[in-house]
Amino acid sequence: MKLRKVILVLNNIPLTPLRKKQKRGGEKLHIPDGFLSWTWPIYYVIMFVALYFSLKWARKNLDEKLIPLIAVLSAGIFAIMSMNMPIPFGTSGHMLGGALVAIVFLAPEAAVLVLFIVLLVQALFFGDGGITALGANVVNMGLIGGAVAYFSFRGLEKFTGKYPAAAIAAWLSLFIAAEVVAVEMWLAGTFPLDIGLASMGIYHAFIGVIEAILTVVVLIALDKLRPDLLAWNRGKTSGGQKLEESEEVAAK
Amino acid sequence: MSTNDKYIVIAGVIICLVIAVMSPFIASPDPDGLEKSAEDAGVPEVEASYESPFPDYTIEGLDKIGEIAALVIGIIITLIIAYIVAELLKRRNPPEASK
Repeated sequence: MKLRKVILVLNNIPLTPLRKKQKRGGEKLHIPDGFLSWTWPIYYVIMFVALYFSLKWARKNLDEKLIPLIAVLSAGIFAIMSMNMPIPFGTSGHMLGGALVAIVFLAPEAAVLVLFIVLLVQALFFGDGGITALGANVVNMGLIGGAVAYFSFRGLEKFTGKYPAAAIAAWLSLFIAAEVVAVEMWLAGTFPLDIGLASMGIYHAFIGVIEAILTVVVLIALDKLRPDLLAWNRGKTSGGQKLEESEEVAAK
Repeated sequence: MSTNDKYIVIAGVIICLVIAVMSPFIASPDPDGLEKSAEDAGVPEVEASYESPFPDYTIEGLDKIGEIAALVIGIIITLIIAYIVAELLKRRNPPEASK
């Protein structure tokens, strides 16, 4: 990335809050229709492949007792996405929650499933994120967000411990998902690549900190109140044994 | 659903409702990172191809109350849909008609 482009982006940042063309409060958060031009079907294909794996994961691992957790996490992610956090440079951002889901279930497939549900509701009922862009939004926040979080968490937990690993994983998942959006926008011809990478990166580096804090807070709360629901407390062995173990924990 | 699981749903819904009530007041009205990046790059805004019932999390004619109500409706819809989907997909219960 050329430095002068970054400087160009930084120079464009107004000191006064940006013109508020939107009504107060009402927000659009996700990729709208049109931003992807002709590329949107590609992401639908990827989304359906990812959903197939989510389906397989659910049939194998989604115990009866985890159903309320899926429902609550989906509703919670819907809620936190409405909370646009002000960040410097006259912009704002929201959290994704994909990292949280991926770490709670230790499965990126779960993040795809939950984010698909949330994004579908947001697109259909609230006009947030285009219908044609649903595939890309699910791929970015569910698949990429979830997978980056899961693999970085798994890679880091031995060295740093669970919570620092979760924090770094959450930050990375949001940051990388945002940079992928910049690449997608470039492929569609919507943003120039360097400006997209620079500005999406800068803004989301800040939002990532909030995402990291929230992810860790929820994980600590769950670990204190319902340790049996966290995948890291359940055995990593076969399904049946896993269930027995988690029931033992629940019985305590 | 066990009593323990009911608690987690109740606690979760309460937290969601608190966020829904606070969000219209404290959420930043600035455009989000993607939108801001689009502005930096000079991308024109496009009209949505589809008219949703509560565009931009608002209800026509109702100000903050409408925003809160839209969020509450969204939270409840999401909770119910996610519950149904999870119930359909759960372990050892392969759904015939999934989705």
